[in-house]
Amino acid sequence: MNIFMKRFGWALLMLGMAQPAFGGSEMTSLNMVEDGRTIYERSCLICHGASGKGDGPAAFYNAAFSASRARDFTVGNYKFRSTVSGSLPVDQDLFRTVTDGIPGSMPSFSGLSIEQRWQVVAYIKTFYSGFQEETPESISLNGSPIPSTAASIQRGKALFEEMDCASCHGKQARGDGSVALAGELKDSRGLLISPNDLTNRTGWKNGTTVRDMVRTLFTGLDGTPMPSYESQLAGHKEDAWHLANYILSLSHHE
Amino acid sequence: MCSQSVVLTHRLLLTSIFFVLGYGVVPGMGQLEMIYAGTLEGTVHYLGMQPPSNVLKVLKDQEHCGAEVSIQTVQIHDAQGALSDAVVSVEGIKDVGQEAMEMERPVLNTRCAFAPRIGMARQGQELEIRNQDPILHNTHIKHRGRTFLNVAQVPGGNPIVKRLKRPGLHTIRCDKHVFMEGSLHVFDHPYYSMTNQTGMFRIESIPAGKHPIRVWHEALGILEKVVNVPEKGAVQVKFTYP
Ligand code: HEC
Ligand code: HEC
Repeated sequence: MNIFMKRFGWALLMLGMAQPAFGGSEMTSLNMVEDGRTIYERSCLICHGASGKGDGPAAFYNAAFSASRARDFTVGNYKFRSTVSGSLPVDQDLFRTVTDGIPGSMPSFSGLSIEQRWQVVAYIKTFYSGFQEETPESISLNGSPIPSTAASIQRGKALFEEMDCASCHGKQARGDGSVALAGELKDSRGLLISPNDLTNRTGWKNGTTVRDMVRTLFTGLDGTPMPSYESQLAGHKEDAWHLANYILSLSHHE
Repeated sequence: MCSQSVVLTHRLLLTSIFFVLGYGVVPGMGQLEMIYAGTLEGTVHYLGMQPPSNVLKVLKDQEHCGAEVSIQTVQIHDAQGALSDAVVSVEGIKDVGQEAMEMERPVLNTRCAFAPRIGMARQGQELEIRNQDPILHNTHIKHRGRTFLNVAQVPGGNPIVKRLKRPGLHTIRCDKHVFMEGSLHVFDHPYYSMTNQTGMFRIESIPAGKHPIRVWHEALGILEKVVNVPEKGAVQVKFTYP
């Protein structure tokens, strides 16, 4: 969270420098949205579509019969959040996605200036009225990372079994669980979706650090079968970190 | 504090007078707002043939869920076709301003099914979800295509509670067991009911006047009729599928 706040604060500062003469904050946000539209039409429309429905000319070819097709911004499903299951993302989450991109799905837009990235974030939010009506509810990461010792990894492995990640991700966490192999996992558009191979972190979409992993486990990925484990891991402060240590350890030996 | 309780007694007094006169009080914003109110009583029948049960192979957790499940969504209870589990509601009356709301019946994951399969709740109520099975379930509730909640529950795991924020149909699924299906109807007013095993329903204290009445059934779809609710007493209405 701290990092987010720093980034956010910095971006606000940049905004201030870029537009020293702006008046009320409403004016600013209107301008931001208008500038964001221009960037959107140039950089995002080809996949996300003119009306934000994820139906741009490239979207279908990108994912004709299976996930992940470009996000439909009019429904309000967001995967990569720092908020509880069912909550909209905070602006910083969207900013992070635009900056980092999504491996295998969407390029990074770190080439846009920070100001431009905030502008396009402001614009994509206008596609869904919920952003005006709801207050996103942030998760709190339980405690902080613990050293990845053999004991921690072993505890994490036991949790991987206890939490039945294998049904979807497979016993070896390669994304080949029986429910996945049966072709029964679908995203919110009814497109076939495969659970990630958790033994190869280069393909992960929601970050590769131990904190990212715990965040994914707590938030779940809305609009997909990946559920939130927040309440199941809540009782034992360290368990989420053991589980994350175990999963990250799987990537070391490729 | 003092003046509040005076107002309250005053209100109670007025209320009882109106009740004596035979008029209900519409649960409202806590304002003293008397409206003539009547009762809606009726039945829902299905005259067609009962469709065959949907038999699905179970691919996961057969030890607990069985090798296959058989699902019959059209529950007919007598020769006349009395239909249960149809959700009846009065449309067009919004009444959101209720005080703190009690918990709605929990949604249970039990024997690889959601119980109740069809549920009803009031906007603002808290919904509780429990897993009573010895296997993992994830309860994935969607509203207008958006995830309202997607939570994993291990055997004996913590119950989950979430406030229902929006009215409308919420679909309930378990991504791990595709044959598990349910729905939850959330209303922004108290005028709803579900048919019982005799196909009957009853909704009380409805503001008098013409209202569209809607019947929803999981497999049979939606029926709608405009009914004139009287100022006092009850009006009868019959719905028939198909
Ligand atoms: C090459 C196609 C492509 C382009 C160009 C593109 N996107 Fe995406 N975007 C995608 C795909 C595909 C997804 C869905 C990935 C997934 O669900 O795993 C996505 C998802 C997203 C999400 C959702 C993240 C979440 O939490 O669910 C946001 C926000 C987003 N894009 C913003 C943008 C913005 C802003 C631009 C322009 C600056 C942009 N995208 C340009 C393909 C693209
Ligand atoms: C009901 C099926 C299901 C279960 C159970 C499940 N997952 Fe997932 N998981 C998925 C799917 C599907 C995705 C892919 C979502 C996507 O790509 O948009 C996913 C994605 C993930 C990701 C995201 C990786 C990335 O790209 O950043 C992680 C991490 C993850 N799962 C870990 C776990 C762990 C650990 C467990 C057990 C505690 C678990 N999952 C249980 C279905 C499941």
